[in-house]
Amino acid sequence: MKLFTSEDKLSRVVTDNYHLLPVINRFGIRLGFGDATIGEICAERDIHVPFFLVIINAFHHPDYFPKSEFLKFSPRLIVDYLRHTHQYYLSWVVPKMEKQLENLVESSQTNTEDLRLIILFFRKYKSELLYHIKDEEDSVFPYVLRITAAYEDGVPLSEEDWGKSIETYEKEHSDVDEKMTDLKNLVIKFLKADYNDNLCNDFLITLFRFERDLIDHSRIEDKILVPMITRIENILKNDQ
Amino acid sequence: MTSRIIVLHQSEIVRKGLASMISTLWKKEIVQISDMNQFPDRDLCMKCNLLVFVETSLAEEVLILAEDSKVEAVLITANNQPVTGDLDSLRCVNLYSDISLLKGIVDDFIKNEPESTAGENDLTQREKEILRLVAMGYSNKEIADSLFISIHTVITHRKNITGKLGIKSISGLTVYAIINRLIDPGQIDLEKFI
Repeated sequence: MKLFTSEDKLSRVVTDNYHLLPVINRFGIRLGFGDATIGEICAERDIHVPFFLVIINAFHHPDYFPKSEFLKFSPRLIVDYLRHTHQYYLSWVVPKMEKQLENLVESSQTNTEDLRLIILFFRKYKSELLYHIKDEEDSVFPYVLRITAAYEDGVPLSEEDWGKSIETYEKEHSDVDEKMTDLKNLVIKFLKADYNDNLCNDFLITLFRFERDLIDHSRIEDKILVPMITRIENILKNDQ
Repeated sequence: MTSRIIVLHQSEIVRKGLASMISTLWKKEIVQISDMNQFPDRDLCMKCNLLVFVETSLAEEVLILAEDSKVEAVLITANNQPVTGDLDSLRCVNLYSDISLLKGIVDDFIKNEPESTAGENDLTQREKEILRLVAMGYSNKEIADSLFISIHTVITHRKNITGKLGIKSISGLTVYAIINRLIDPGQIDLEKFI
């Protein structure tokens, strides 16, 4: 596994894996960076280099599991990154998939009823996804930020927060993941192919890419954020 | 190979009545048609197991279309109708006869359904039946009670269904059941179940 380092040119990162394009956008980096290296670009934009590297390497290598010594950055950065990711889903990917499905229905001559069911199912999936995102935004992230403030800035924790742990906060992603898989299988295996093939392919490609992005998103939460907060919780409790 | 039960009769009362009795007893979907134009073509007759309840005046046409295929025709007769010629060898249900006769005919047909020839990923008749109830929102307990089987058996069937289809969520299974015509979307509240 060859990991990206701060000496690598960012243009090479993008040509190696174009799926990383939206990932680097989440850091406020836009194209047109010439031959600048990751280190140079991050310095210019005041981006924390080790954090940037962990994120792009975790996305690029599904088996990459950064050891704790590489996790020397504030959980605030992760929350900030995850919020940008949510924003990308809500403002771009989900509406795009919905539009693509609507186009697919319009392209069908005789099977619109079945396709409408798929849209209905997609909307159910969407509402669960939005609920999950809202839960993270409204309860998980604020808790992470309060724990971080207690650890980094000495802001006292409330009585209520002392009794909590990140483990109880992080809800299972499984229901949402399950519906995503069902949606894929319904379209690929069971839907009568009475529609414009290219429109269907567009939809599925968006869906596959979104699936991959979500897997990465969950890994960052489960493998990086949760262990980091658990460690801080233990330190705070021992110091109490 | 799929199997279907068809009721072919000009009278809507007879069609609906027969279909409703059969679907209540066996939870099977019944195709109701009023004339030969809607009857499956010869290709489909060769591919499917069909049990056709047909009124006497249309039976000859069904027999011609169904020659050498796995179509079994059953005559729907009224009290005083004479049955002649080729039709003589067919089984009959009389509009005034006891329901046990109808039950015997459908039981025989279902017993011979090619469950064993189902492909690895095709659902068996029993699985379809369970899927239908799951998709309509019944709980495992309700399904077990209505089919006289244990909850454990229902759960095993559900695992097999999910394994074969690759669909886990109940709303996903409901979509599958509708697009495969296992349930009629009119039977359920779509907003609630999907």
